[in-house]
Amino acid sequence: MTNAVNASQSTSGSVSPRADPAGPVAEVEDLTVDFRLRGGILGRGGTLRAVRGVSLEIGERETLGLVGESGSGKSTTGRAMLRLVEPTAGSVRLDGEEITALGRGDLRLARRRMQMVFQDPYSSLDPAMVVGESIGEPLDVHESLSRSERSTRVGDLLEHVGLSATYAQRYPYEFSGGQRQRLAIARAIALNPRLLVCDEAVSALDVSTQNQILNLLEDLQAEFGLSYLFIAHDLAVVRHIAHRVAVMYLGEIVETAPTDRLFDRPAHPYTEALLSAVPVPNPRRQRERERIVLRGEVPDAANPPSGCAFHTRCPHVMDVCKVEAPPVVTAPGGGTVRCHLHT
Amino acid sequence: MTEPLLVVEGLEVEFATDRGWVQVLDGVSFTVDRGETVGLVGESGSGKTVTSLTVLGLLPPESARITAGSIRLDGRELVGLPRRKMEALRGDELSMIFQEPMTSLDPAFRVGDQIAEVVRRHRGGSKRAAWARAVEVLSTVGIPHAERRARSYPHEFSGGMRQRVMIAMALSCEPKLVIADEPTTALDVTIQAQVLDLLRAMRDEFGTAVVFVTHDLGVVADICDRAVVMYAGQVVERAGVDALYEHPRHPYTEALLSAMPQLTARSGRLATIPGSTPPAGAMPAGCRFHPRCGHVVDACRDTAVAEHPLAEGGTSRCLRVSELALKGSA
Repeated sequence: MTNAVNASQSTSGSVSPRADPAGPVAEVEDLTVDFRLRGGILGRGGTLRAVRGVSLEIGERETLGLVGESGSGKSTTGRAMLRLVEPTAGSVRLDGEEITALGRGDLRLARRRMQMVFQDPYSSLDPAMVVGESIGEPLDVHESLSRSERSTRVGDLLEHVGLSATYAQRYPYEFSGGQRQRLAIARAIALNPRLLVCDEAVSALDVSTQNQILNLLEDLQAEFGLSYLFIAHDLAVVRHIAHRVAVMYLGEIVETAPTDRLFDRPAHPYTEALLSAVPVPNPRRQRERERIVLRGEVPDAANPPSGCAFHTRCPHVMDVCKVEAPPVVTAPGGGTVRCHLHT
Repeated sequence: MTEPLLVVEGLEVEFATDRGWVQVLDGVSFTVDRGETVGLVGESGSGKTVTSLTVLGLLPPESARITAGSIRLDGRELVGLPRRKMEALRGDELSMIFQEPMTSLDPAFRVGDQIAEVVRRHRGGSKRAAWARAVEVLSTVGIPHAERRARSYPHEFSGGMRQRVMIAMALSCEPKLVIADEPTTALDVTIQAQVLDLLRAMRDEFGTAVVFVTHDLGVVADICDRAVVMYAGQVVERAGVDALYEHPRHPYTEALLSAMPQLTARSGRLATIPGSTPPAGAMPAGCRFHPRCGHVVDACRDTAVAEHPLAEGGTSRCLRVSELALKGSA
């Protein structure tokens, strides 16, 4: 099949820089993102460090799941990689090219190769435009196509996401939630990106629709060699779609592992608690499961605990955890873990 | 034998639309026993939330109407009950917990005052006694330093703690029945686990019956005794949870179970249900699930299907219930 998406490379002037073809598509090193806090009633300013020294890699055709609870910094990490929020420090490389140093024009070019799919597809579809206009918009910005070339490309994109080419003339409100997410994906892949950051992309959908979108993402990955950073709070979904998983807590990655190892033999006490808190859809099995109910809640990111950030809730806390931040070490069975139990 | 605590029978509800009145609930029936937790399960558009709002008497009167059916709480008919009597009942014998507590808590008042107000409205007594009761229930639901926290405003609590405040308010008058609509959906899983444990403890301690409205089959497996599965404004299956998950008796239940991604093992290709839920006012003829059903036969397309009572207990709204061997969740 000739695909619309590959055609974009031949018609475009700039060729994506590719480093070592075997190297990772995306590399993040020591990424830090600070938010300045507003004064508030007491006039206290201050800084909230939402992402603290995150490092990760995503290979070609790889899906990296990024999980964690609210306030863990997973969304901020994804946005900072695309510079939708500005990193405070650290490095983000796409095919070897440093993204954090790019000026405005070069950044716009680089964005062709990394796109985002959000939970709410309305954020990328203008309700006042027919969807063909929204999907074709990236083409208008980056490529100069004739009217008929453009409409052929939009039609091809619609068909790639399982919709009819004739839908281009309809408005977003005429579509269901699942269809709108397909449209957002069509727009995101219009310029043949290398990396898609999916931020809770299926969280608002009913389970049957959710599965249709997950299957579509898998198909597009196989067809176009896409890499995904898949940010989600639903661990069962991540188990299904991710090749590797990184777990975040209070702005840090506490564990990374190949998916099966992470779910079958979690190395970090937080990962273990997180997995045990998800109820499984079978009453008998759910009754038999051993559950770890964590005490308390995620601490305030503006004022994180000393030592290991998880020590205030950890069932295995030791004296050393309260004073010393654990180093990142290799975990048994593969991946890495940041916990004193393993040092 | 006395009647169950809640009996919903043949409930039909219509909404006003620009095309006139459109039916959104069609013959919804189920019961809840004292101290029992019953899940009301379905996807968006199934009618589960409309059902819960109808039982609570919270349908907007100008745009919704009950056209048939009965709702009895402890033997007392709620359909047609004057608004003031319904208001007196709500918060007292019958109370509710919603997904977003901020919509039920007034941001301008201290949470202790809000709970005390509910207590005084329904139970009377002095302000001092009502405040003491508020502090007591806040402490019961695990709010640390309840005496001090009762003086805080809703925005000073985290999402999980606000949901505890909401539960405290719902339980303050020791209701017989609590309707909880997606009460943990907006919470992180570790906080959801805490709240589910709390609801279990409340049920054990006070014998409160709960109708748990949710789309999450994991949560139903965790906390419910029985489940009522809804699709397109109708109940399609009722069963105890063990039977429902292991031997579903309706193809829609089977399809939902098979579509759940598994936490404990990676599946191959994810199962989907073709098509989408029909909109109210455009229901297919015959069985409402037939256009999406993997077991459809000709008879399903034109015969409206009634709920069949099953020998083992429960019901199924499937024409082929006796001949199909449906697959449960492993």
